[in-house]
Formats: sequence, structure tokens, C-alpha cells
Amino acid sequence: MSKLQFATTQDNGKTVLTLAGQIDESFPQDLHNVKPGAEMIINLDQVKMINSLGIREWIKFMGSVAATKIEFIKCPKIFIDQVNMVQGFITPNCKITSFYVPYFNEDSNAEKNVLYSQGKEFGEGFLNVAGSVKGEDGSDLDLDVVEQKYFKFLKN
Amino acid sequence: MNSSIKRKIMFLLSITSLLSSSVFLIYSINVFEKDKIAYIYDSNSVYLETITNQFKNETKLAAEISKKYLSEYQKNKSFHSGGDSMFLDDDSFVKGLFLVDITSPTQPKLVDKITTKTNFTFKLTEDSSFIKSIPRTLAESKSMFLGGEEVFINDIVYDADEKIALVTVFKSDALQSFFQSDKAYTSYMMNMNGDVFRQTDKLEAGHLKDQFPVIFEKIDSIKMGTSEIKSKTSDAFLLSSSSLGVNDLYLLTLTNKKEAFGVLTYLINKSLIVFLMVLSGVVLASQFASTYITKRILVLYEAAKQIISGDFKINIEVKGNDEISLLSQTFNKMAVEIVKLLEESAQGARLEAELKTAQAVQQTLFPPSHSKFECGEIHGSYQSASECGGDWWHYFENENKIWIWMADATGHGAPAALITSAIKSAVAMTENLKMEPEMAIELVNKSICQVSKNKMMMTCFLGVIDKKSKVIHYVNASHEAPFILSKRTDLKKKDLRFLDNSKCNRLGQSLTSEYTVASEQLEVGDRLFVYTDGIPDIRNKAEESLQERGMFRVVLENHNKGTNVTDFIVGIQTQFDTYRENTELIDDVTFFAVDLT
Repeated sequence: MSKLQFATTQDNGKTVLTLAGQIDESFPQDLHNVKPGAEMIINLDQVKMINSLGIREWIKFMGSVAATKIEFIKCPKIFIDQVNMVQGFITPNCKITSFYVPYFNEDSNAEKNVLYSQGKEFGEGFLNVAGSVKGEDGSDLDLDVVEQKYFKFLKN
Repeated sequence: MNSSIKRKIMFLLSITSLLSSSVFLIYSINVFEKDKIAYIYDSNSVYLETITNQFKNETKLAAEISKKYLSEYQKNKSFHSGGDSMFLDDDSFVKGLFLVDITSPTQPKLVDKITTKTNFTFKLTEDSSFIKSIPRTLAESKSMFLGGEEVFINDIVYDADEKIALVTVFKSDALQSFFQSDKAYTSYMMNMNGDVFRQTDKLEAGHLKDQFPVIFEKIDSIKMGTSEIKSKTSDAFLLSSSSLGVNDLYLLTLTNKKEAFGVLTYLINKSLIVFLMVLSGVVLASQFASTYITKRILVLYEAAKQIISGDFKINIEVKGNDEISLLSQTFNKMAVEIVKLLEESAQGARLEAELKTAQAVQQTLFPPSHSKFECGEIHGSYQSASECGGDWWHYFENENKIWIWMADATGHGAPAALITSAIKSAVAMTENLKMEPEMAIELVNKSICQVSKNKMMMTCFLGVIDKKSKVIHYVNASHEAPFILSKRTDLKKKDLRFLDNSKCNRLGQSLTSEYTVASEQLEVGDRLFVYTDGIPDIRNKAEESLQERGMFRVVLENHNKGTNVTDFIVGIQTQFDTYRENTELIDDVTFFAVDLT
């Protein structure tokens, strides 16, 4: 698995930080030097793994951008798990506007990650969790997380 | 070993030099011999041609002089009518002229003569056999004959009715030189009938026929040219011949091949001496080179023996930049690397021993895997990813409460194990103090912060179960949320109840971290499952992770069997091991369950 790679672009005055790879002890120190400005979008679509050493580095990074309004998009399950579990994994200035919800069929082992977006599947005071979705082969895929646990972060 | 390599090198160098020199010597001698033969053949042929040409010119000159005298005679009927000036002097090329009346072949008569006073060896008189032989000689169509050193040329002139023969006598310098005895060859004049008319001075008569009968056996083959023949004693001779151009006379030379090649033999002998000197030099050089090489190899050999005996402090002196020097350099480096490797091995062995000790020590940090309480039963399992792990679990009873701890240090291995020691010490202090869970964990956090200086952190779950009320008060320091399985045996994932209402900073993150407690009412028959994040990371040989999904499946399968807590934990452990297929753990795997009764 590759080390964490990052790239920054600008979109309508916002810094877009795209991360890919694994968040671990090889966390790039240059990431701490990113000057995002007032608002930043962090795209986590290609983040594949987070370990305990990576969590420590991530929390440091969150501290370095505490003054920035951050919007997380396309958060994978591993990120949401850490958000639910680790205090301070995302700071109060952050919000998650889209995240993946895994679905799975135990018979065929088919998997699918469905992107939940703010205003569509969830929002202020509502959460529409689909108990199952159709897979690419037409089979029914069941929700692959414990609803009570996985969507906990939305309540906070 | 030394003498063997040395001899091989010497033998190799010597034999190579010997072979190459021999080939060169043989080739050179062969080429030189061919060249010498060609030279002798060529020079003999040229010499004979020169002699014959010179003789022909002498004959012509003698004929022209005799014609002048004949003309004078015919005019004045005397050779002497011109006075003394007409006389041949002693240095004259022509030594004499004879006019002989051969009208009557049986009674030839000397008509007139003129001769030099000296240097004329052939004595002529009217009665001599010479005068008498002239008609016969002419009848045999022989225009020339020899007498001593002189050559006689016959010619017939007619004067009225008389038949007069003019005999011109001259001394041939060419033939005189040809037959001198101081040559490297012997000379002969003979005709195709095998008559030898003259030979090198001082040779015995019949020498040619006696010593070289082969010439007379194949006399027709003696024409112009050069060939090799054998003498009667089988000695090789080079035979050269050339036609004299008078009658059927031929000039022959015989050169002893052995003598002719004397220079070649001398050269070969000299070359052999030089060759032996060069060979001796090569042997000496080989001796020196092999000694030089083997001496350096011996140094390496001694160094190798030194290493075998366990002494690695070697430093071979490196001279030059050849292969042995490179080998010596490599040898020195190898010794250094071996020393380094041994030191590393010793260090590794020491570290391994220390880790074993640490592992043994760490085992003391864990409680017995199974225990029964007044209102419940607990069973746990711990597997470290390496010798020492960063997971830690613990339980104890305190009056009417059961305290359960689960912690997971960042990373694993020895550094993580050290922090588990710290938390064990800190928790031990809280055991006898009557304090609330949040206070206990705050105390532990402070201990961890002081020990780790923010370099190591731990996730931690603390649960305190009231034996009577069955209420669990818990604090979660960013650890995986434990879950409760009810006593039903048809549970599904959605039936799990997570203790996730407490989320606090990890231990060691900050001295000022605050910890909030949450509560959950439990019931008799409930089973509390607490675990670390190493479980979802368990991988099989295909490097497929068990994931959270797999963990829930295994836990539910074993729970729904309705077994006791021990069988439940052992069953889960067995299934994890089966899935893992003996591959290494990515992270420490720790879990335990508490059954409330």
C-alpha cells in the first residue's frame, strides 16, 4: 500500500486538499505546512488505511488547521470509524458533507460503497438509511455496518 | 598448497615459453633453410652461366685474332711478315697459332706457327702427337680440344689445293678460375658420353666417376640446372650444370650440402643457445612470479586460518592493483563485515533475550484469562503480533463492583509494551482507592502522560459494573466501542448494543484531558464483548482482512451457540486462527467477554 500522497488545488476560493494512500507513521510532514486559508475541502476518496500511529499525526494536522473551516467529502468507512471512535479526530470547525456507506451480499461477497451526501441522505434532523441497495449484478446488498454505531457521528 | 600452485605456475609459464619458442625456432630454421637452398641454387646457376658466357667470349676473341693472323699469312705466306709487332707477346691472350697441312690426314705437316715465348705449357713440334691428332680431331667434327691449361680451336682453311688447318691456342681465364682448387665446390667439364675432360685441380683422376656414380647412371638428366644428388657415401651434394656451347661439353659443380649449410648449422646452434638462455630466463622469471604470487596467496591463507581460529582482527597489506590486491581488499572488508555481523548477531541475540525477558515480564501484567465473580464470569484472550505487545487488559473486584480495563497503545512491540507496564502500575494504584471511573482514568492518564511525554498514547476502555444494580459505568478513551450481546441465541448484527456514549481523549494525549462517564443498564444473561482493533486487521494468506464484518460474524456465530463464556472466547479464537492460516498478525489481538449471572 502506498504512503499518503496529497495535492492541493483551488476551487472558488477554497483550497481543495486531495489525499490518497494510507495515514500512518509515514505521514508527510509537508502536509503540516499547507496554508489552506479560510476554507478548505478535504477529499478523502482514495484514503485506504488509518493506523494508530497515523491517528496521532492526523490529530496534529487537525490542530494545525484548527482556524480553517473544513469540509470533508467522500469519506471512506475507515475515516468514519475513527471519527466515531477517536476524540479530536475531527475538530469542531469541520463538517462531513459526504461519506461512503458499505453494502454487502454475504452469498456473493459482492460489495458496494454508496456515497451519502448532505441534503440528500442526511441533513439537519434527518437520516435516510437504505437497508439494502442493488448491486452491479442486480443482487440485493445489505447494509454492512451497525447503523447505531456507524452513523453515530451525525448526532454529534 | 604453496608448492603445488607454485609448480603449476612455473610449469605453465615454462611450457608455454618452450612451446612458443620451439615453434618459432622450427619455423625460422625451415624458412632460413629454404632461403639458403634457393640462394645456393641460384648463385651456382648464375656462376656457371657467367663462366660459360665468359668462355664463349674468350673463344670468339681468340677466333677473331686468329683470323687477322690468317689474313696476314694468306697475304705474305708468313705469320712473321709484319715484323716484331705482329708477334704475340707474353701477355697476349692468344698464346699461339699453328697452320697445319692436313691434305694428307695420315701425314700432317706444320706449315707455320707463331707463339709467345713464355706461359705456354703445351710443347709443339712437327712430330708431336698434337700435329698428328689434328686430322682425327677435325674428322670427328670437334672444333676444340684441351691441352693442359690451353684451349685449342681448330679451323680448316683451304689454300689452293691444300687443306690447311688453323689451330688457335689461348689460355682461358674463365676455365682457369673455374677449376682452381680453392673453391667451396668441385668443378668438372664433361660431355654427354661421360668423358670428363677436366676437373678441379689436385683431384685424383676418375674422382667424379668414383664418388658420384649416380651422375653417370642418369647422365641425360644433367642439363642446365641444379639438383640434389647423393654421393657414393650417401652425402648430399648440390649439382649445378651448364652447357659450354662447344661440342657437347658441360660444366658441372658439386657442392657439399653439409658444408654449404655450415652457416645454417652455426645459426641453429647459436639459436639453440639463445633459446636455452631465454628458457632459463623464463624459468627464473616463473620462479620469481610464482613465488611472488604464492607468497601473497599464503598471506591470504594465513589470514583465513586466523579467521577460522576466531581471530578476526586481520589487516592484510594491499600492494598494487591486481586481482590478488583486490582479493586482499575484499578479504579485509569481509573480515570487517564478519566482525560487524557477529556484533550484530550478538546484539540481536541479546535483544532477543531481552525481548523474551520483557515478554515474560509482560505476561505478569495480565490477569488470569478466566475468572468467576459473584455476579458474573470473565474470559479473555491475548495474542501479540511480536514478542511484546501494546494491548493490555485487566479486571478486578472492588467491593460490589467489577472493574474491567482494555487498552491499546499506539503501535506494538517493545515500545508499546513499556507503556502497558505504565498503565498496569497506574491501574494497580487505583484498585484500592474508592473513586469514580472518570477519576480513575484521569489518574491513569496523568501517569501515562508523565511516562510517555506525549510520544506514546493509548486508547482505553474502562467499565465498572455494579454487581447489584447491573449498571455499567464506562469511560471510553477513543477505544473501539464494546458491545453487549443479549442472552438470545438468534442475534444479528443489528441487535448489538454498543457502549458508545463516552468518547474522550486517548490516554497520554494531554494532562488536562477530561473524561466523561456514560452508563448502561445490563441484565442477567447479557454478555459484554470488549476488543481491540487488531481483530478486524487479522489477515489470511491472501492478505484479505477479516474486517469488522468478519469479526461480527464470528462473534455472533459463537454467541448464538449458547455456550459459556469460556467456550465462547475459545470458539472465537479458534475461528480467528483458522482464518489467519498461521500468517503473522498485523497488530496485537485482544478480546474478552463478561457474562452477567
